[in-house]
Amino acid sequence: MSDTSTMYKQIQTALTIHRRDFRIAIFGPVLYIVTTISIAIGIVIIRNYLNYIESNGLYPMPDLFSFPFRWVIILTSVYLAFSAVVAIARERESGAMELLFYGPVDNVSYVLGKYSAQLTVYCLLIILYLICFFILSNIAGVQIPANFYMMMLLSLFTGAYLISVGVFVSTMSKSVRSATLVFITLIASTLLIQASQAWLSNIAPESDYYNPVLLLQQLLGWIQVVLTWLSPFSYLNYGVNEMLRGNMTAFLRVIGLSFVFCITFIFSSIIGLKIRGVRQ
Amino acid sequence: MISTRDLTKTYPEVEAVKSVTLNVRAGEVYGFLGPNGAGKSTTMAMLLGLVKPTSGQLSLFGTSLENDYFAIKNAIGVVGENPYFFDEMTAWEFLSFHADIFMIESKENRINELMENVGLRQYANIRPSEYSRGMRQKLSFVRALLHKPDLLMLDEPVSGLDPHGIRQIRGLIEEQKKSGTTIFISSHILSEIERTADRIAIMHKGKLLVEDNLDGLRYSVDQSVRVNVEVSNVPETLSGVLSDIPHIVDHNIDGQHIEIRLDATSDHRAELSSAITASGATIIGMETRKASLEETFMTFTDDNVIGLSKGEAQ
Repeated sequence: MSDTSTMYKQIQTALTIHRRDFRIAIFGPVLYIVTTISIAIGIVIIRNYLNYIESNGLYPMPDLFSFPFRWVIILTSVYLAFSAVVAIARERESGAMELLFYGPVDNVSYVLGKYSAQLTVYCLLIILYLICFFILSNIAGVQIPANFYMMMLLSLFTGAYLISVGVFVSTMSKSVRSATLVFITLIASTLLIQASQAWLSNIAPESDYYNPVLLLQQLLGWIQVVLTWLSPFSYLNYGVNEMLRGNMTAFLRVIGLSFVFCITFIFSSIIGLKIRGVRQ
Repeated sequence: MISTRDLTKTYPEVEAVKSVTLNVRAGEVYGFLGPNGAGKSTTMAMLLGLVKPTSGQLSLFGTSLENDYFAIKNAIGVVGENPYFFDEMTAWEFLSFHADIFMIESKENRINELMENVGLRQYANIRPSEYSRGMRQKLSFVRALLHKPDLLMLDEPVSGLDPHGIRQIRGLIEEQKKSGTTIFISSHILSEIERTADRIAIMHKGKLLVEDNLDGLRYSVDQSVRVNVEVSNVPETLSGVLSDIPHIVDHNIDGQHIEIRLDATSDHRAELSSAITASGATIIGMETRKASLEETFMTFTDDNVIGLSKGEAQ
């Protein structure tokens, strides 16, 4: 069989899996709960800003929408990545993955089908959030700045990257339990290190050269440097900050790197599934 | 159709399949037997590309999965031991999804036709979780037959079914056999294999012990034919007469019943009948009894156990 024909069949099969998973995702109640919570958090933050403006007559920050939108994005992408983790690991555990591989489904079409379904849901949610933020801006009487759309573009790439990490974790895991544990540990440790580093950096160490706070600050600083290069959350923060500073080269670099990491993780998932096999 | 050579699968703790060489011919029903843990499922998983062999070669339709994955998979229908269905789908949606995976044109007609055949048409819009075990197994068959496969691989197809369900599944297998589909059945239920299989392979402790048709298997465990004769007027000389017949391996007279073992080189029943009549006895009935597959299977696997334990002891 020619490579073109194989590729055509892989795409067709991936699309069939995509349609099924997309349907499962949009008919599940959890998605709507997460979306509602995300929008509610956005509304609360914007409402606080408006209260601040009302009482002080000053803007708390130049762009009222970037910070709440970042939260909305983080929540949604973490949920969809987790959803990918559970979907794949559960299919392996239950035997559904084996059932699919009885037929003309290979590791490429399976991973692409699963991944693209979550990504499509994510893209649709971004559009939904855009509409919500539009409505909010009209109600608040504050115009959405042009760079908000740039941030949306960036969030597509960082979200795609995080979902690819979820797919990778699940293709390599034995069970739903282990996949969930690995994914939650990854996300929690990433966020914890970032938060700890921010907190520790505010503590002024004593002048003692061997002060443990100083050592911890240095250690977390190094880990933070590594995370800056790896974590999708860091890419989102870094990209937004650089965009607000007007550094478009850095902004585009963040998009490019997110894309490269995303492709790397999808490719690793395909290879991982081949090595790991479809059985538990 | 299926050919393997020295197929081996080794896990860190155990060698699950040891140098298995088997050949499944086009159009035949191939029974794949073995006790639990014999390596049947691992072998089937390797044939289906679900488990990577440690060493050895395998080919399906004269080629390997690496060379023509989609063409081979499109020609195989599989019914697994534990039928799995997607919880969120009705039977119809489940079949429709699989028809899309196989890119079946006019899938509605095909699904309707098969559902009608197995008597599930009126239950098409119900979720399979609400089906009985037999109905679920039939639905699995429908899924496996959707794309009109050339090769049907069945793993314990009647396991856990009641006699009515077994009969329905047997009917489906026979229908496929008539239409020329090659069928590979792995099963514990020996009577089913005995009824349907053209050739049989027996696996034990990861090794393929034998691969032959049923008569060949019987001959390899017992080179004699058992004949039960019912007579009246048993003369005292009958035992001596029977002992003088060269083709009789041994005999046992129990009242009016005589159990005789003849060598299986050719049919000696006429000669036996003449000798008994000449001795003055009157033959009321005569029947040839062949060893059942179960007896043959037990002989193979028991002998192997004894053989292995002797080897281990040495």
